[in-house]
Formats: sequence, structure tokens, C-alpha cells
Amino acid sequence: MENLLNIFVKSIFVENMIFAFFLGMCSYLAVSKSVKTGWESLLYLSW
Amino acid sequence: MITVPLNFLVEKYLLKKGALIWLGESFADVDLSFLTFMIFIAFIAAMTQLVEMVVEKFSPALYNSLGIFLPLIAVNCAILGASLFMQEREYENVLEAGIFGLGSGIGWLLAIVGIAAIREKLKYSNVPDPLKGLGITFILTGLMAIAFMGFMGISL
Repeated sequence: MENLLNIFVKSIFVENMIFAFFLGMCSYLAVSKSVKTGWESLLYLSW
Repeated sequence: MITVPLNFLVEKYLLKKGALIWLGESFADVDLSFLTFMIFIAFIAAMTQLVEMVVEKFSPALYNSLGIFLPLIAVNCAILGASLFMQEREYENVLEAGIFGLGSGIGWLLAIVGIAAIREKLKYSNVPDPLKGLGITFILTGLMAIAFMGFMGISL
């Protein structure tokens, strides 16, 4: 259980896809025009 | 994230050395790991198509607003990157892989909403002409990345 929590927190903050590895920049730049389209990218979470 | 646990199962039962043992004893030393990239991409593309069809059916408005970006997810580096990290870090079961996928998705969403909020506020600031638009966004991304470097020393 603790292990799972570690993986979860680590993948959000320490090894953040964009800020630690700069992966997925294209869609990141495209949908960050406004906060509204930013939240709409919630759909991307399903992948 | 669907694809990370899915690709975990694919790797475990299809690609790793000796993974095909469930087909019978004679498959025990078949090693298909050289197919990793192709199979991962194929599964990601398949899932993208599937979800695209579902979105088109149930929410045409969202489908229209996303436009070209939806099929482009199939070649998004972050999606494949998550699967490859999952493979490299050798998570032990499908639950760990799923939690990792969910966490990296949430981290990505956090980054997007953060930068979108800053970009909205940026309308009221006096940005030098050559940096307007994309240029200042790259600079902001770099600054936020430096801020996130603060988490780097933490080992969980």
C-alpha cells in the first residue's frame, strides 16, 4: 500500500512527465491557451 | 491511463523472454522483446481509435472541439514514454503500473492547468514583442521545470 502511494506521488511530482522529462510538449502547448481547454484535456487522462 | 496497465499485461504475457509459456512448453524460450516498440504503438493506436469512436458517439461537441488532436494522441510521446518507463522500472504487478499511469496523467494535467492559468494572466503583462506567444511560454515552462527540480532530491 505504501509502495503504491510512493509510486503515485513520485509520478506526479518528482518525475512529472512535462517538467522532469519534457515529454508530450506538443499537446501541452496546444491546449494551454486558456484554463478551460486545459481542463478539457482531462480526456487525455484516459490514456 | 488505460494503456500503461494494458501494455504491462502485453509485455508480461507476450513479449518477455519465456512469456509465451502459457501456449505450451515448446514456447518456453521464445523471446519477442524486440517487438516491444511496434506492439506498444499498435496497442496505443487501437485504444485511441476505440476511445475516439466512443467520444464521437456520446459527446459530439467535445469531439468537434478536440478536432485533430484526438487521433494525434496515437503518436504522443508522453503516452509511449509512460509505457516505456513502466517497462524500464520493472513494476511488479498491474496495479503498480496502473497507479503509475494515473499519477503521470494527473501530473501532466496539473502542469497544463498551471501553465494555462499563467498564460491567461499574461494577457495583462507587458511582454517584449519578439517573445509574445510561444516564446514566453517556453521560458515559463523552463522556469516551472526549475521549480519542479526542487522535488528531485526527495527519494520515496
